Amino acid sequence: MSTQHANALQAAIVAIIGVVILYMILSARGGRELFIRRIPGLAAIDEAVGRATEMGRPLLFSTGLVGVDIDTLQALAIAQYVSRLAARYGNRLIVPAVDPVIFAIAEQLVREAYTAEGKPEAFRSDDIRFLSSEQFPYAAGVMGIINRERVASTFFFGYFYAEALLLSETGQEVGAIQIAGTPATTQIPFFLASCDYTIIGDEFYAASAYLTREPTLLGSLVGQDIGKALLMLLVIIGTATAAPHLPLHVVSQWLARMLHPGG
Amino acid sequence: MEQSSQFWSRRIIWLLLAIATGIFIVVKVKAVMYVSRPALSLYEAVERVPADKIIVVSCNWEPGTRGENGLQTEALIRHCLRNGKHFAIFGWAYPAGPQLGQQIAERLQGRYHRRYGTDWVNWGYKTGQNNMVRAWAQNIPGTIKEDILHKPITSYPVMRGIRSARDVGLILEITPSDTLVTYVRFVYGIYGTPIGYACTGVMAPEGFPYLDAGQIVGLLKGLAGAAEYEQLLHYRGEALKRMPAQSSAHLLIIALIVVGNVLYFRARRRGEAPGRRLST
Amino acid sequence: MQARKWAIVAAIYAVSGLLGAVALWGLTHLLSPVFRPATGVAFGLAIAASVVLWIGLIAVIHRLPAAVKKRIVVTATFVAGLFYVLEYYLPAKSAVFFWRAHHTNPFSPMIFTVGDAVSVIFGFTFFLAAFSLSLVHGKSIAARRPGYHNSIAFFVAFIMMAVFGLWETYSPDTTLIHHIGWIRRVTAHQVYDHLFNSMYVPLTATLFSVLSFYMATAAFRAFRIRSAEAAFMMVAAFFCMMGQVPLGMWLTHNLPLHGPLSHLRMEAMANWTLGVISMAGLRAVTFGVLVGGLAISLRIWLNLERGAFFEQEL
Repeated sequence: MSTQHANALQAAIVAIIGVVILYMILSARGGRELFIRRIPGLAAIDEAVGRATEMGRPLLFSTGLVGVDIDTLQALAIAQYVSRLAARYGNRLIVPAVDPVIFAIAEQLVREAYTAEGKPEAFRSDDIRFLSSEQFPYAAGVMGIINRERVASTFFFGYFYAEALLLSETGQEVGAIQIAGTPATTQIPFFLASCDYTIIGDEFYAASAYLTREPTLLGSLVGQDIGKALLMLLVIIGTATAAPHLPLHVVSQWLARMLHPGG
Repeated sequence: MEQSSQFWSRRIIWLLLAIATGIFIVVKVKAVMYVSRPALSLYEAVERVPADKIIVVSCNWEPGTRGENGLQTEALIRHCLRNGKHFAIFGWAYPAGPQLGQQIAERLQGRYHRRYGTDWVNWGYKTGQNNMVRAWAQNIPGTIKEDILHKPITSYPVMRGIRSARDVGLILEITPSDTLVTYVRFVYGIYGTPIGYACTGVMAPEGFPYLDAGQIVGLLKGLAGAAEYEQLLHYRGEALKRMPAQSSAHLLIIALIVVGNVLYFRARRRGEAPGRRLST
Repeated sequence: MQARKWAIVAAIYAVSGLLGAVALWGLTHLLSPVFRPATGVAFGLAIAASVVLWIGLIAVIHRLPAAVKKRIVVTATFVAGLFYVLEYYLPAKSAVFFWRAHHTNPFSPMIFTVGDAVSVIFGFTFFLAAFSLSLVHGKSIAARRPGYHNSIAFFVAFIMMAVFGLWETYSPDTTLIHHIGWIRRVTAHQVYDHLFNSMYVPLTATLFSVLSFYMATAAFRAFRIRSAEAAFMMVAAFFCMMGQVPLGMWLTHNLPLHGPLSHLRMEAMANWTLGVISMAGLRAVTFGVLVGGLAISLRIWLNLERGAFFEQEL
């Protein structure tokens, strides 16, 4: 089965999950109440910003090492929330960017947050800086900023690679309260070891829904959960029929043939 | 007081780690590695590549990971040169990657009497990411055009008969990032070209789902993977020489975890606050 | 009422999608005689004309009302996403979907051209990075802020790598210092080689090495056995760490290499933990992450995304 074009099963799976997500979005917009459990890391954002303001030290928000991508867009959505809080309390928010496009978006986003809170004069354009598009130069730059500015709270949201531990340990050294969220599964252990709050896996994608309680985002979140349940059902069916001696083994073979790329 | 103890405990730990790893610069210890199944599979895949196909050594790594990816690249290129397998160095994620691969191949080629252009070539760094890889898989000379020396790649004997991914016997993806999925999606998924994966230790768990699904033929996990490969080549290279230092570092970290927990349980028995809780 | 409203929206999307697909296909056929490969003076003129056209287009868009600009962005996003959706989800060949000769997917040949166009758009950001860095460090030097010497170092490193990098590419054998007496001949290639291999490579490798020291302090500070699950995790971590190094392999080297007892060898337990337990967990997390990615992509494509800059005036 080639991956150049989707086959019928792949298209059906994506279509079903897509329809479920869209249906839940419509339901939420129609007034349906949807439950979302408490995510401690996101609930602590307010505390982190408040603590930094009390200490009179700035905040730092890193959007990860990837350019314009859905992970970075999600991180920027969280950055907007943090920047509104920072602006409200009159605190500085430093956003080191790894990509020129992200730099431009972040600058506009933070500037408008300060303007919306009625404090345009508190915005410092030098706090939004492009450092480098390379991994370790970026890490070195952020570590330098954390040490020199003695930031009181750090936020690491986005896709990170090996520099994750470098950044979070530097924040530990200066005594910052640290909140991290990343879909990068290999970096989660390092954030768990060094950060006060860590958001794991697809909780990261729930962040914008959690913070804004916007019906569209809540509906999408519930739709995602249903989509995951459907995928789990497929896995269970495939596993249950995998044994060769079973009469339904042909189901498992068909699923493997339709979903396994290559050749 | 707490800050002062934290300050000194950090520095003592760093000094211990420096001694634990640095001592093996002067003390020579011979390390023996038992080769894992993923590394052996990759070795066998390289051995199986037929003479009329080329191996792509995809150097998608940067100088920062030279300690792991650099040694993996050296072991893999050494295998290709030793067995007379034609290979092409290539990169599209980090501009420095192909240049670093070039330095390694140039250093090793004389030992096995191989020549640039006849036995291997360097296609250099190409921009375009996914789009470029898709076009490359369909038409290699049309996409690559020139090598790292700005000469047409079709002028080299090693490129004779190499048109598309169907003429590639194996792709060796050496990287610290998640570039493997591009090759799986646009090359293995369409042309069935076998892929081997050599990654940093921290990225290794992400390679296992692909290995289990048969989408990659083998896996080298960081410095240990490079050492296993050198063991298979019966060559005592830098990776094997550094394994005692890694053993020592791992032992030290385990000892630190044990000491940390002993102190924690003692503090808990005394009723002292254990420090800031970590939460997910 | 709500359901009827959304049915109308879905119908509008479907019709726009169909019209968009036809427009994309028609536009390609109309424009392909114009945009042919060019060389020499014609190539230069084509580049200059494209730049002038783009600047003009951006100037016109800039003057439009905010609501119109937003509508343009939403339409462009939808059409761009639609192209990739149609190219991937429609089959390579189908007599049902494609009525042209050979019944082949008309979007597949365009995929490389569209990808190249995306690369060109991202190329515009190249100078934005250098401009931003120069502005920040230039201000630091002008205002003599504390640490401005680092900004001077930045400019020196930036200019040297740029100059010698270009020199290395186009004229590496250029002599910079001639051989006079005990002074050796120095070429551009040698200077670049020194900058790259003796400075850039060791510096980045050093920063990666710092990771191991931070790992040691994190392990000492954070890995506490507060529960039974944490204890299991510690045992698994012990096997994974020791099973990959010679010292750990030596601990169980007396066990046979084959047979039931071979599974108790340190390296076997490490590989089993990584290849079975850890892999299953990672796969599960990957499923969740990919479904989350699908949801966000759908929201952005269909202009359903809320928050951040998606609701801002342009």
